[in-house]
Amino acid sequence: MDELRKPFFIAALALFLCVVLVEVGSAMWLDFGTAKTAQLASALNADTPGYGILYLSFLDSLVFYVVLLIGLALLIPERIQGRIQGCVTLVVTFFGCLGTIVAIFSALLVLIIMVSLLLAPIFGTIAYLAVYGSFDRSGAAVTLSLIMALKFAAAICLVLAQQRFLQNKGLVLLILTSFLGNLIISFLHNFVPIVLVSITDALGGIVVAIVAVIWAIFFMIFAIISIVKAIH
Amino acid sequence: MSSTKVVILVLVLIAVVYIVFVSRGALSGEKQGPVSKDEAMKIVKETPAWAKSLGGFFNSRRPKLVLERARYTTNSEETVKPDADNQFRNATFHLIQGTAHIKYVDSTEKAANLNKQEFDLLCLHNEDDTCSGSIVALKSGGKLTITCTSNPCRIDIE
Repeated sequence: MDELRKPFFIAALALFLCVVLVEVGSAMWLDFGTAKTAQLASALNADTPGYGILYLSFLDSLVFYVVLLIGLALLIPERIQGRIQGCVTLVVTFFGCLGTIVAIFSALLVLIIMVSLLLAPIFGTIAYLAVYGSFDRSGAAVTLSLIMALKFAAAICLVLAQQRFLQNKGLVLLILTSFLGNLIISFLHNFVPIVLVSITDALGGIVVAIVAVIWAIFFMIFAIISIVKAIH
Repeated sequence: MSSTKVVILVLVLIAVVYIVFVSRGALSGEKQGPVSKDEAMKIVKETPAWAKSLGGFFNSRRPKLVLERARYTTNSEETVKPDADNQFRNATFHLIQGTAHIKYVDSTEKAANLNKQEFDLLCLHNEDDTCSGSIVALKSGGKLTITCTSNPCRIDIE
């Protein structure tokens, strides 16, 4: 009963990896605009949004990393893992944090442009509607549903692999935060008029990225503590 | 209640809430907003308060179109310089006195109905008042013409 059921664990790991890949790849297949708006956006060299799902990957990469660390314990001896885990976590979370902060500012910049255009009638609003006024809400919903299903399957596999994972409050909270991120993006995509979805999508992306930064800082602090302990 | 049951309950709750959210979007049946002047004005009027407060919060940080003067009282014509860093630069004209006509011709190719931006400024104190209006200058810049259609007239730039 106390043993880790490896097939379920590997399945959970693979599913979390799929979640991250789907989120990162979403920008490639989701069309955030009609052909007409895409043409205009390209003529103006303007960034069309689609931040919510993409930025979920910052949070889910952390989930994948934590599950991967648990998995590595199966392959690497505990003594060696104890020494390198702190250093690797520090490096990963530090650069992850930096990248996420840069991404937050990039989304913020586009958000400022979108909001200022929308609220500058007549031609600012026309420009906003022409470039950002449409959003592939159904495509985003399908992608979010796929991500949600993968996360559910991964969470169930993790519990089936070892029920004691439920006692790991940090892991449970991180996975719940990941589900919450999905809910936030889904809410912001579906509860506002279609012309405002580009704005709420960017807002959602920023919120999710901030949550990811908070988690990354949390892991960074624990990594530093672990390194100090290893040195002593 | 055991931790397993709590987790199952939480997962079921998340799934239900998620389905409600997605169904709400799927059933709304909204299409992309049209881009005519009248529809644009309607959309701005219907913009929720939270979006307006967000606009107020970001107002100082938005890319602004810098014009030669902050106030115009006579006819004027000026060239808007290109700006490679900003795709969109706004300038809002507030009519303080008289009536005026604003015309901006952007040099950017294939900019659809943003190439020629033209509107009248007049304060009639009715619902469709157009005491203020904005133009959007694109990367390539263009030519701005301000015409006073009454004497005296005064237009302030935000």
